[in-house]
Amino acid sequence: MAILQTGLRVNLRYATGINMYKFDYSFFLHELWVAVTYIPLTLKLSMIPMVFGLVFGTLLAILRIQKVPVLNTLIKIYILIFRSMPMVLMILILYFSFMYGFDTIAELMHLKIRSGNVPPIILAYIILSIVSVAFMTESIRTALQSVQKGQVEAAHSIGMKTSAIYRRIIIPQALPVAIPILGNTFIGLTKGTALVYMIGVTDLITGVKIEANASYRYLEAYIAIAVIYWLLCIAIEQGIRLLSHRVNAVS
Amino acid sequence: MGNIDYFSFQRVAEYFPQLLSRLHITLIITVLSLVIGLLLGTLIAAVRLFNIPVLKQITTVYISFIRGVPINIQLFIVYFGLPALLNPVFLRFNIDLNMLDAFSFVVATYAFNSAAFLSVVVTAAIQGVDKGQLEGARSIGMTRGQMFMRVVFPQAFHIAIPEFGNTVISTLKDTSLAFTVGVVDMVGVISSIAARTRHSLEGYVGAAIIYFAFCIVLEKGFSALEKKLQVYK
Repeated sequence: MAILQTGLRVNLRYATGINMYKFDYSFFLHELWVAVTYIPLTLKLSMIPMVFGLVFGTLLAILRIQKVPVLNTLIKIYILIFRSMPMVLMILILYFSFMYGFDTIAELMHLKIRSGNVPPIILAYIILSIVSVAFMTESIRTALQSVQKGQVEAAHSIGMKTSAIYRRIIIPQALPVAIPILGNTFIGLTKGTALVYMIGVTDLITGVKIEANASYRYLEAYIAIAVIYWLLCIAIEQGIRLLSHRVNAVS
Repeated sequence: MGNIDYFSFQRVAEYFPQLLSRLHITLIITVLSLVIGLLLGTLIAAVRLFNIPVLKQITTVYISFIRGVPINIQLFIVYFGLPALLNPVFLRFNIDLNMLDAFSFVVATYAFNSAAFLSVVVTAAIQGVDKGQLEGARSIGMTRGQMFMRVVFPQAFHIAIPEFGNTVISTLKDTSLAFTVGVVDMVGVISSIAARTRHSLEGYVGAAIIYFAFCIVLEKGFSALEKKLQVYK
Protein backbone atom coordinates (compact mmCIF):
# COMPACT_ATOMS: atom_id res chain seq x y z
CA MET A 1 0.00 0.00 0.00
CA ALA A 2 1.13 3.50 -0.62
CA ILE A 3 2.92 4.77 2.43
CA LEU A 4 3.31 8.49 2.91
CA GLN A 5 6.87 9.41 3.65
CA THR A 6 6.19 12.87 4.98
CA GLY A 7 8.48 13.99 7.71
CA LEU A 8 11.02 11.21 7.33
CA ARG A 9 13.80 13.68 6.89
CA VAL A 10 12.54 15.75 9.81
CA ASN A 11 12.70 12.60 11.93
CA LEU A 12 16.32 12.25 10.98
CA ARG A 13 17.04 15.76 12.18
CA TYR A 14 15.37 15.10 15.50
CA ALA A 15 17.20 11.83 15.86
CA THR A 16 20.62 13.25 15.15
CA GLY A 17 20.09 16.81 16.31
CA ILE A 18 22.22 18.18 13.51
CA ASN A 19 21.61 19.87 10.19
CA MET A 20 24.72 18.45 8.59
CA TYR A 21 24.36 14.95 7.24
CA LYS A 22 27.36 12.68 7.48
CA PHE A 23 27.30 9.89 4.93
CA ASP A 24 27.85 6.57 6.68
CA TYR A 25 29.99 4.56 4.26
CA SER A 26 30.07 1.32 6.23
CA PHE A 27 26.29 1.35 6.54
CA PHE A 28 26.08 2.09 2.81
CA LEU A 29 28.23 -0.96 2.03
CA HIS A 30 26.04 -3.05 4.31
CA GLU A 31 22.93 -1.82 2.48
CA LEU A 32 24.58 -2.48 -0.85
CA TRP A 33 25.11 -6.09 0.19
CA VAL A 34 21.49 -6.39 1.32
CA ALA A 35 20.43 -4.99 -2.05
CA VAL A 36 22.60 -7.54 -3.89
CA THR A 37 20.74 -10.39 -2.16
CA TYR A 38 17.50 -9.07 -3.64
CA ILE A 39 18.78 -9.06 -7.25
CA PRO A 40 17.39 -12.54 -8.06
CA LEU A 41 13.91 -11.47 -6.92
CA THR A 42 14.08 -8.26 -8.97
CA LEU A 43 15.17 -10.24 -12.03
CA LYS A 44 12.34 -12.70 -11.52
CA LEU A 45 9.89 -9.83 -11.23
CA SER A 46 11.05 -8.47 -14.59
CA MET A 47 11.80 -11.74 -16.43
CA ILE A 48 8.50 -13.56 -15.83
CA PRO A 49 6.36 -10.64 -17.09
CA MET A 50 8.85 -10.26 -19.95
CA VAL A 51 8.32 -13.87 -21.07
CA PHE A 52 4.55 -13.47 -20.78
CA GLY A 53 4.84 -10.24 -22.70
CA LEU A 54 6.84 -11.88 -25.49
CA VAL A 55 4.44 -14.79 -25.91
CA PHE A 56 1.13 -12.95 -25.63
CA GLY A 57 2.52 -9.76 -27.14
CA THR A 58 3.45 -11.66 -30.32
CA LEU A 59 0.00 -13.21 -30.41
CA LEU A 60 -1.79 -9.89 -29.97
CA ALA A 61 0.53 -8.14 -32.42
CA ILE A 62 -0.31 -10.71 -35.10
CA LEU A 63 -4.03 -10.31 -34.34
CA ARG A 64 -3.56 -6.55 -34.75
CA ILE A 65 -1.68 -6.86 -38.03
CA GLN A 66 -4.13 -9.37 -39.47
CA LYS A 67 -6.87 -6.89 -38.47
CA VAL A 68 -9.07 -9.53 -36.85
CA PRO A 69 -12.40 -7.72 -36.38
CA VAL A 70 -13.60 -6.88 -32.83
CA LEU A 71 -10.40 -8.30 -31.28
CA ASN A 72 -8.34 -5.68 -33.09
CA THR A 73 -10.40 -2.88 -31.56
CA LEU A 74 -10.30 -4.46 -28.09
CA ILE A 75 -6.52 -4.83 -28.21
CA LYS A 76 -6.20 -1.24 -29.44
CA ILE A 77 -8.19 0.04 -26.45
CA TYR A 78 -6.21 -2.14 -24.03
CA ILE A 79 -2.91 -0.80 -25.34
CA LEU A 80 -4.13 2.79 -25.48
CA ILE A 81 -5.24 2.65 -21.84
CA PHE A 82 -2.01 1.11 -20.60
CA ARG A 83 0.27 3.37 -22.57
CA SER A 84 -1.55 6.58 -21.65
CA MET A 85 -1.75 6.09 -17.91
CA PRO A 86 0.96 6.21 -15.27
CA MET A 87 2.21 2.74 -14.32
CA VAL A 88 1.65 3.34 -10.57
CA LEU A 89 -2.03 3.99 -11.10
CA MET A 90 -2.33 0.97 -13.35
CA ILE A 91 -0.67 -1.23 -10.74
CA LEU A 92 -2.78 0.11 -7.87
CA ILE A 93 -6.04 -0.12 -9.85
CA LEU A 94 -5.31 -3.69 -10.96
CA TYR A 95 -4.28 -4.60 -7.41
CA PHE A 96 -7.52 -3.38 -5.85
CA SER A 97 -9.59 -4.85 -8.67
CA PHE A 98 -7.99 -8.26 -8.15
CA MET A 99 -8.41 -8.15 -4.40
CA TYR A 100 -12.03 -7.07 -4.57
CA GLY A 101 -12.83 -9.42 -7.44
CA PHE A 102 -11.25 -12.31 -5.57
CA ASP A 103 -13.25 -11.57 -2.43
CA THR A 104 -16.49 -11.23 -4.36
CA ILE A 105 -16.00 -14.56 -6.13
CA ALA A 106 -14.89 -16.27 -2.92
CA GLU A 107 -18.00 -14.99 -1.15
CA LEU A 108 -20.28 -16.13 -3.96
CA MET A 109 -18.78 -19.61 -3.83
CA HIS A 110 -18.85 -19.66 -0.01
CA LEU A 111 -15.13 -20.28 0.18
CA LYS A 112 -13.17 -19.58 3.33
CA ILE A 113 -10.21 -18.18 1.39
CA ARG A 114 -9.93 -14.40 1.10
CA SER A 115 -7.75 -12.04 -0.90
CA GLY A 116 -5.56 -11.53 2.17
CA ASN A 117 -4.40 -15.14 1.76
CA VAL A 118 -3.02 -14.56 -1.72
CA PRO A 119 0.72 -13.84 -1.56
CA PRO A 120 1.34 -10.35 -2.96
CA ILE A 121 4.19 -11.62 -5.11
CA ILE A 122 1.75 -13.70 -7.19
CA LEU A 123 -0.36 -10.61 -7.74
CA ALA A 124 2.77 -8.67 -8.67
CA TYR A 125 3.64 -11.25 -11.34
CA ILE A 126 0.11 -11.13 -12.75
CA ILE A 127 -0.16 -7.34 -12.73
CA LEU A 128 3.29 -6.74 -14.22
CA SER A 129 2.53 -9.33 -16.90
CA ILE A 130 -0.66 -7.51 -17.89
CA VAL A 131 1.29 -4.26 -18.13
CA SER A 132 4.11 -5.96 -20.00
CA VAL A 133 1.85 -7.55 -22.63
CA ALA A 134 0.47 -4.10 -23.50
CA PHE A 135 3.93 -2.62 -24.03
CA MET A 136 5.31 -5.69 -25.79
CA THR A 137 2.43 -5.86 -28.27
CA GLU A 138 3.20 -2.37 -29.52
CA SER A 139 6.94 -3.03 -29.72
CA ILE A 140 6.50 -6.32 -31.56
CA ARG A 141 3.96 -4.82 -33.96
CA THR A 142 6.38 -2.02 -34.85
CA ALA A 143 9.09 -4.57 -35.55
CA LEU A 144 6.86 -6.87 -37.60
CA GLN A 145 5.54 -3.98 -39.67
CA SER A 146 9.05 -2.78 -40.44
CA VAL A 147 9.21 -5.55 -43.04
CA GLN A 148 8.29 -4.22 -46.45
CA LYS A 149 4.74 -4.90 -47.58
CA GLY A 150 5.88 -5.80 -51.07
CA GLN A 151 7.78 -8.80 -49.76
CA VAL A 152 4.70 -10.16 -48.04
CA GLU A 153 2.66 -9.63 -51.20
CA ALA A 154 5.32 -11.35 -53.27
CA ALA A 155 5.31 -14.31 -50.88
CA HIS A 156 1.53 -14.50 -51.12
CA SER A 157 1.72 -14.41 -54.91
CA ILE A 158 3.98 -17.47 -55.05
CA GLY A 159 1.45 -19.29 -52.87
CA MET A 160 3.11 -19.27 -49.44
CA LYS A 161 0.86 -19.79 -46.44
CA THR A 162 0.55 -16.98 -43.89
CA SER A 163 2.30 -19.09 -41.24
CA ALA A 164 5.17 -19.80 -43.64
CA ILE A 165 5.41 -16.10 -44.51
CA TYR A 166 5.77 -15.23 -40.83
CA ARG A 167 8.32 -17.96 -40.25
CA ARG A 168 10.47 -17.47 -43.33
CA ILE A 169 10.05 -13.85 -44.40
CA ILE A 170 8.80 -11.60 -41.66
CA ILE A 171 10.38 -12.90 -38.44
CA PRO A 172 13.97 -13.24 -39.75
CA GLN A 173 13.86 -9.62 -40.95
CA ALA A 174 11.92 -8.24 -38.01
CA LEU A 175 14.23 -9.76 -35.38
CA PRO A 176 17.16 -7.32 -35.78
CA VAL A 177 14.69 -4.42 -35.63
CA ALA A 178 12.87 -5.93 -32.66
CA ILE A 179 15.81 -6.54 -30.35
CA PRO A 180 16.67 -2.92 -29.46
CA ILE A 181 12.98 -1.99 -29.09
CA LEU A 182 12.26 -5.02 -26.91
CA GLY A 183 15.41 -4.27 -24.94
CA ASN A 184 14.14 -0.81 -24.10
CA THR A 185 10.81 -2.26 -23.07
CA PHE A 186 12.62 -4.76 -20.86
CA ILE A 187 14.57 -1.95 -19.17
CA GLY A 188 11.28 -0.12 -18.61
CA LEU A 189 9.82 -3.23 -17.00
CA THR A 190 12.85 -3.68 -14.78
CA LYS A 191 12.48 -0.11 -13.59
CA GLY A 192 8.77 -0.77 -13.13
CA THR A 193 9.56 -3.45 -10.55
CA ALA A 194 10.50 -0.57 -8.25
CA LEU A 195 6.78 0.04 -7.82
CA VAL A 196 5.67 -3.36 -6.51
CA TYR A 197 6.50 -2.46 -2.91
CA MET A 198 3.29 -0.44 -3.05
CA ILE A 199 1.20 -3.60 -3.24
CA GLY A 200 2.96 -5.19 -0.31
CA VAL A 201 5.72 -7.22 -1.98
CA THR A 202 8.92 -7.46 0.05
CA ASP A 203 11.21 -6.51 -2.78
CA LEU A 204 14.60 -4.83 -3.05
CA ILE A 205 13.26 -1.48 -1.87
CA THR A 206 11.40 -2.79 1.17
CA GLY A 207 14.24 -5.12 2.13
CA VAL A 208 16.86 -2.38 2.02
CA LYS A 209 14.63 0.19 3.69
CA ILE A 210 13.83 -2.06 6.66
CA GLU A 211 17.51 -1.97 7.58
CA ALA A 212 17.50 1.83 7.50
CA ASN A 213 14.41 2.26 9.67
CA ALA A 214 16.30 2.10 12.96
CA SER A 215 18.86 4.77 12.11
CA TYR A 216 16.83 6.90 9.66
CA ARG A 217 19.73 6.54 7.25
CA TYR A 218 17.47 6.49 4.19
CA LEU A 219 19.90 8.33 1.92
CA GLU A 220 22.41 5.46 2.12
CA ALA A 221 19.58 2.98 1.58
CA TYR A 222 18.20 4.71 -1.51
CA ILE A 223 21.64 5.22 -3.04
CA ALA A 224 22.31 1.50 -2.58
CA ILE A 225 18.98 0.70 -4.30
CA ALA A 226 19.82 3.13 -7.11
CA VAL A 227 23.27 1.60 -7.66
CA ILE A 228 21.78 -1.88 -8.01
CA TYR A 229 19.10 -0.75 -10.46
CA TRP A 230 21.67 1.23 -12.40
CA LEU A 231 24.01 -1.75 -12.67
CA LEU A 232 21.14 -4.03 -13.67
CA CYS A 233 20.08 -1.66 -16.45
CA ILE A 234 23.64 -1.27 -17.71
CA ALA A 235 24.03 -5.06 -17.74
CA ILE A 236 20.78 -5.47 -19.68
CA GLU A 237 21.83 -2.74 -22.12
CA GLN A 238 25.16 -4.46 -22.76
CA GLY A 239 23.40 -7.79 -23.17
CA ILE A 240 21.07 -6.31 -25.77
CA ARG A 241 24.00 -4.76 -27.61
CA LEU A 242 25.79 -8.13 -27.78
CA LEU A 243 22.63 -9.92 -28.86
CA SER A 244 21.86 -7.43 -31.60
CA HIS A 245 25.45 -7.70 -32.91
CA ARG A 246 24.99 -11.46 -33.08
CA VAL A 247 21.66 -11.25 -34.84
CA ASN A 248 22.91 -8.64 -37.28
CA ALA A 249 25.90 -10.82 -38.08
CA VAL A 250 23.67 -13.83 -38.81
CA SER A 251 21.02 -12.14 -40.91
CA MET B 1 -19.37 -10.30 6.28
CA GLY B 2 -21.91 -9.65 3.63
CA ASN B 3 -22.06 -7.57 0.59
CA ILE B 4 -19.31 -5.03 0.88
CA ASP B 5 -19.57 -2.15 -1.54
CA TYR B 6 -16.25 -2.35 -3.37
CA PHE B 7 -16.63 0.00 -6.27
CA SER B 8 -19.16 2.45 -7.60
CA PHE B 9 -19.05 4.87 -10.48
CA GLN B 10 -21.05 7.26 -8.38
CA ARG B 11 -18.12 7.62 -6.01
CA VAL B 12 -15.74 8.15 -8.93
CA ALA B 13 -17.93 11.09 -9.96
CA GLU B 14 -18.11 12.26 -6.37
CA TYR B 15 -14.32 12.29 -5.90
CA PHE B 16 -13.63 13.81 -9.29
CA PRO B 17 -13.96 17.48 -8.23
CA GLN B 18 -11.66 16.84 -5.26
CA LEU B 19 -9.04 15.41 -7.60
CA LEU B 20 -9.44 18.28 -10.04
CA SER B 21 -8.91 20.76 -7.20
CA ARG B 22 -5.34 19.41 -6.86
CA LEU B 23 -4.71 19.09 -10.59
CA HIS B 24 -2.87 22.41 -10.70
CA ILE B 25 -0.12 21.00 -8.43
CA THR B 26 0.46 18.16 -10.92
CA LEU B 27 0.54 20.58 -13.85
CA ILE B 28 2.81 23.09 -12.10
CA ILE B 29 5.29 20.32 -11.29
CA THR B 30 5.24 19.17 -14.92
CA VAL B 31 5.63 22.62 -16.49
CA LEU B 32 8.23 23.93 -14.02
CA SER B 33 10.38 20.84 -14.27
CA LEU B 34 10.17 20.81 -18.07
CA VAL B 35 11.22 24.46 -18.33
CA ILE B 36 14.15 23.97 -15.95
CA GLY B 37 14.89 20.63 -17.60
CA LEU B 38 15.01 22.20 -21.06
CA LEU B 39 17.48 24.87 -19.93
CA LEU B 40 19.65 22.33 -18.13
CA GLY B 41 19.28 19.84 -20.96
CA THR B 42 20.39 22.40 -23.56
CA LEU B 43 23.44 23.12 -21.41
CA ILE B 44 24.25 19.42 -21.22
CA ALA B 45 23.70 19.10 -24.99
CA ALA B 46 26.12 22.01 -25.56
CA VAL B 47 28.75 20.26 -23.43
CA ARG B 48 28.29 17.11 -25.49
CA LEU B 49 28.22 18.83 -28.87
CA PHE B 50 31.31 20.95 -28.18
CA ASN B 51 33.07 17.86 -26.84
CA ILE B 52 34.29 19.55 -23.68
CA PRO B 53 36.63 17.06 -22.01
CA VAL B 54 35.85 15.77 -18.47
CA LEU B 55 32.46 17.55 -18.49
CA LYS B 56 31.37 15.35 -21.36
CA GLN B 57 32.27 12.19 -19.46
CA ILE B 58 30.36 13.50 -16.45
CA THR B 59 27.26 14.10 -18.57
CA THR B 60 27.53 10.56 -19.99
CA VAL B 61 27.52 9.09 -16.48
CA TYR B 62 24.70 11.43 -15.47
CA ILE B 63 22.49 10.46 -18.40
CA SER B 64 23.18 6.77 -17.85
CA PHE B 65 22.26 7.12 -14.16
CA ILE B 66 18.99 8.90 -14.88
CA ARG B 67 18.06 6.33 -17.53
CA GLY B 68 18.96 3.36 -15.37
CA VAL B 69 17.36 4.28 -12.05
CA PRO B 70 13.59 4.22 -11.43
CA ILE B 71 12.15 7.69 -10.99
CA ASN B 72 10.73 7.02 -7.52
CA ILE B 73 14.22 6.12 -6.28
CA GLN B 74 15.55 9.33 -7.83
CA LEU B 75 12.86 11.24 -5.94
CA PHE B 76 14.05 9.91 -2.61
CA ILE B 77 17.71 10.43 -3.42
CA VAL B 78 17.09 14.09 -4.24
CA TYR B 79 14.74 14.49 -1.27
CA PHE B 80 17.27 13.13 1.21
CA GLY B 81 20.46 13.82 -0.67
CA LEU B 82 20.16 17.42 -1.83
CA PRO B 83 19.97 18.86 1.71
CA ALA B 84 22.74 16.52 2.85
CA LEU B 85 24.94 17.58 -0.04
CA LEU B 86 24.25 21.32 -0.14
CA ASN B 87 23.44 22.20 3.46
CA PRO B 88 27.08 22.77 4.46
CA VAL B 89 27.10 25.61 1.91
CA PHE B 90 23.58 26.91 2.46
CA LEU B 91 23.78 26.93 6.24
CA ARG B 92 26.45 29.62 5.99
CA PHE B 93 23.75 31.86 4.55
CA ASN B 94 21.34 30.74 7.27
CA ILE B 95 19.26 28.72 4.85
CA ASP B 96 18.34 25.25 6.00
CA LEU B 97 17.36 23.15 2.99
CA ASN B 98 15.71 20.66 5.34
CA MET B 99 13.02 23.24 5.96
CA LEU B 100 11.98 23.39 2.29
CA ASP B 101 8.85 21.40 1.58
CA ALA B 102 8.72 18.30 -0.58
CA PHE B 103 7.33 20.21 -3.57
CA SER B 104 10.66 21.90 -4.33
CA PHE B 105 12.51 18.61 -4.23
CA VAL B 106 9.97 16.97 -6.48
CA VAL B 107 10.36 19.76 -9.05
CA ALA B 108 14.14 19.45 -8.75
CA THR B 109 14.00 15.68 -9.35
CA TYR B 110 11.78 15.93 -12.40
CA ALA B 111 13.90 18.78 -13.72
CA PHE B 112 17.09 16.69 -13.36
CA ASN B 113 15.29 13.77 -14.92
CA SER B 114 13.85 15.59 -17.92
CA ALA B 115 17.17 17.46 -18.40
CA ALA B 116 18.88 14.14 -19.11
CA PHE B 117 16.23 13.00 -21.60
CA LEU B 118 15.93 16.41 -23.25
CA SER B 119 19.71 16.73 -23.61
CA VAL B 120 19.64 13.55 -25.68
CA VAL B 121 16.77 14.95 -27.76
CA VAL B 122 18.53 18.28 -28.33
CA THR B 123 21.85 16.63 -29.19
CA ALA B 124 20.23 14.30 -31.70
CA ALA B 125 18.22 17.13 -33.26
CA ILE B 126 21.22 19.39 -33.79
CA GLN B 127 23.32 16.52 -35.11
CA GLY B 128 20.44 15.68 -37.43
CA VAL B 129 20.93 18.87 -39.41
CA ASP B 130 22.89 18.19 -42.58
CA LYS B 131 26.56 19.24 -42.30
CA GLY B 132 26.64 20.44 -45.91
CA GLN B 133 24.13 23.13 -45.07
CA LEU B 134 26.49 24.56 -42.46
CA GLU B 135 29.27 24.67 -45.02
CA GLY B 136 26.90 26.33 -47.45
CA ALA B 137 25.86 28.90 -44.88
CA ARG B 138 29.47 29.65 -44.05
CA SER B 139 30.36 30.00 -47.70
CA ILE B 140 27.84 32.79 -48.16
CA GLY B 141 29.37 34.57 -45.17
CA MET B 142 26.89 33.94 -42.36
CA THR B 143 28.15 34.47 -38.85
CA ARG B 144 27.92 31.63 -36.32
CA GLY B 145 24.91 33.29 -34.68
CA GLN B 146 23.11 33.67 -38.01
CA MET B 147 23.94 30.10 -38.93
CA PHE B 148 22.39 28.86 -35.72
CA MET B 149 19.27 31.04 -35.85
CA ARG B 150 18.50 30.70 -39.58
CA VAL B 151 19.80 27.26 -40.52
CA VAL B 152 20.30 24.99 -37.55
CA PHE B 153 17.56 26.00 -35.13
CA PRO B 154 14.49 25.82 -37.42
CA GLN B 155 15.43 22.37 -38.66
CA ALA B 156 16.55 21.03 -35.29
CA PHE B 157 13.30 22.26 -33.78
CA HIS B 158 11.40 20.30 -36.36
CA ILE B 159 13.43 17.14 -35.78
CA ALA B 160 13.05 17.44 -32.00
CA ILE B 161 9.26 17.82 -31.84
CA PRO B 162 8.18 14.14 -31.67
CA GLU B 163 10.76 13.14 -29.07
CA PHE B 164 10.14 16.32 -27.12
CA GLY B 165 6.46 15.39 -27.04
CA ASN B 166 7.32 11.95 -25.69
CA THR B 167 9.41 13.49 -22.92
CA VAL B 168 6.59 15.88 -21.99
CA ILE B 169 4.13 12.99 -21.77
CA SER B 170 6.43 10.75 -19.77
CA THR B 171 7.25 13.59 -17.37
CA LEU B 172 3.55 14.19 -16.86
CA LYS B 173 3.04 10.50 -16.17
CA ASP B 174 6.00 10.41 -13.79
CA THR B 175 4.48 13.16 -11.65
CA SER B 176 2.03 10.52 -10.45
CA LEU B 177 4.84 9.40 -8.11
CA ALA B 178 5.28 12.76 -6.39
CA PHE B 179 2.92 11.61 -3.63
CA THR B 180 5.53 9.15 -2.37
CA VAL B 181 7.52 12.00 -0.79
CA GLY B 182 4.39 13.65 0.56
CA VAL B 183 3.32 16.15 -2.10
CA VAL B 184 -0.45 16.48 -2.02
CA ASP B 185 -1.09 16.56 -5.74
CA MET B 186 -3.86 14.79 -7.62
CA VAL B 187 -2.66 11.34 -6.52
CA GLY B 188 -1.59 12.48 -3.07
CA VAL B 189 -5.08 13.71 -2.23
CA ILE B 190 -6.43 10.18 -2.80
CA SER B 191 -4.92 8.96 0.46
CA SER B 192 -6.76 11.64 2.39
CA ILE B 193 -9.98 10.73 0.57
CA ALA B 194 -9.30 7.09 1.42
CA ALA B 195 -8.66 7.91 5.07
CA ARG B 196 -12.02 9.65 5.23
CA THR B 197 -14.17 7.28 3.19
CA ARG B 198 -12.22 3.97 3.19
CA HIS B 199 -12.45 3.90 -0.59
CA SER B 200 -9.32 4.47 -2.61
CA LEU B 201 -9.93 2.52 -5.82
CA GLU B 202 -12.40 5.14 -7.08
CA GLY B 203 -9.82 7.84 -6.46
CA TYR B 204 -7.17 5.98 -8.45
CA VAL B 205 -9.62 5.39 -11.29
CA GLY B 206 -10.51 9.09 -11.33
CA ALA B 207 -6.86 10.14 -11.38
CA ALA B 208 -6.15 7.62 -14.12
CA ILE B 209 -8.95 9.10 -16.22
CA ILE B 210 -7.52 12.61 -15.83
CA TYR B 211 -4.01 11.45 -16.73
CA PHE B 212 -5.42 9.53 -19.67
CA ALA B 213 -7.23 12.62 -20.99
CA PHE B 214 -4.12 14.77 -20.68
CA CYS B 215 -1.89 12.20 -22.37
CA ILE B 216 -4.27 11.80 -25.29
CA VAL B 217 -4.62 15.58 -25.74
CA LEU B 218 -0.86 16.08 -25.59
CA GLU B 219 -0.22 13.23 -28.02
CA LYS B 220 -2.75 14.56 -30.52
CA GLY B 221 -1.43 18.11 -30.03
CA PHE B 222 2.15 17.14 -30.72
CA SER B 223 1.32 15.09 -33.79
CA ALA B 224 -0.78 17.98 -35.11
CA LEU B 225 2.14 20.34 -34.52
CA GLU B 226 4.45 17.95 -36.30
CA LYS B 227 2.13 17.80 -39.29
CA LYS B 228 1.75 21.55 -39.37
CA LEU B 229 5.49 22.05 -39.45
CA GLN B 230 5.79 19.52 -42.23
CA VAL B 231 3.85 21.84 -44.53
CA TYR B 232 6.53 24.49 -44.34
CA LYS B 233 9.33 22.10 -45.03
